[in-house]
Amino acid sequence: MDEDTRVDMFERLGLPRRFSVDLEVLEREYLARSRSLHPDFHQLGAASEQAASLELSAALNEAYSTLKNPFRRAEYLLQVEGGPVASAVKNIPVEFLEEMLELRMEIAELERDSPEAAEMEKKMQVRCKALLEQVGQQFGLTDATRLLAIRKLLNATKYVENLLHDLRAL
Amino acid sequence: MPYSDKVLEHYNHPRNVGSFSPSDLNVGTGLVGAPECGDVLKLQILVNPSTGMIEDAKFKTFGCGSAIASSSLATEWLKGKTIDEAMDIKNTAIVEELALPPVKVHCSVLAEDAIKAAIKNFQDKQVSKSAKQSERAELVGAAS
Repeated sequence: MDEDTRVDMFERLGLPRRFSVDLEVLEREYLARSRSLHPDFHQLGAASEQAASLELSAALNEAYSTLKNPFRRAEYLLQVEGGPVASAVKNIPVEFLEEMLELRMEIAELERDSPEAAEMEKKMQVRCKALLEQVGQQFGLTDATRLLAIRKLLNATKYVENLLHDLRAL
Repeated sequence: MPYSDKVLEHYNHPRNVGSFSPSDLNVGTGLVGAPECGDVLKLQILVNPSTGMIEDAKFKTFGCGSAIASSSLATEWLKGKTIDEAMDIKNTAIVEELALPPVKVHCSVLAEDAIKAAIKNFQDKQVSKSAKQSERAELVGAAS
């Protein structure tokens, strides 16, 4: 049981440990596994069996929601591969910070549901996607600097994600 | 986690929001980021070059309530201090004043980093200014 809670998230869903994930397969594997683990199926079992199924079920849900989101999936994979944590890479280019601050000011001026807000959201989504595509390419490489490169890309992605979050909270 | 009254007060009424022209030689600009949460903080000081006194301070931030409160408080503390006194502002004092919880300590670190970066930027500008002045003096000297 203890051993089982330490299984990595990809394994928990029967997927190969890599960045690229087929979302349909993820969905299918998740549904099949969650059905067999559902606490309702274990109601008549011993208390320990019920507790175990509850725990496994929670771990499965966590794995599913993490792997479904490409940003969170990349963060998780980087952690599993022993990459640096976000705060370890402090030297963000000043131009980038400047740009993020400018965009933030622009977004604060936008009106909810306006065409300008929709356009900005689309632009930020495209940017996020492009960053995550680069992350995917880096994960496919084998050179030693890739983990640091991925960390930098993910840190930049975090900023863009925050802008998207702000846009949705207008 | 609820914010302390002091954080809320600064968050609702942030002091000294705005900016100075970064090209002004008497302005020091610090631009820093906290990648773990995607925060950005730009903090600027306006220094009187003859007294070394910080006459005014402004900030712009993109971050959570604690980041805004930490920056707002930092600008308040900076005004009227000398550069040397400003170098001594510690993030722990910000944590204490705002009663920041452990998960928000990095917001105060961001504010301290921004103060240091702004001072460094001001000092770098002064060095290049005096270098230019002595260069000019040499040119004048050579010409006469």
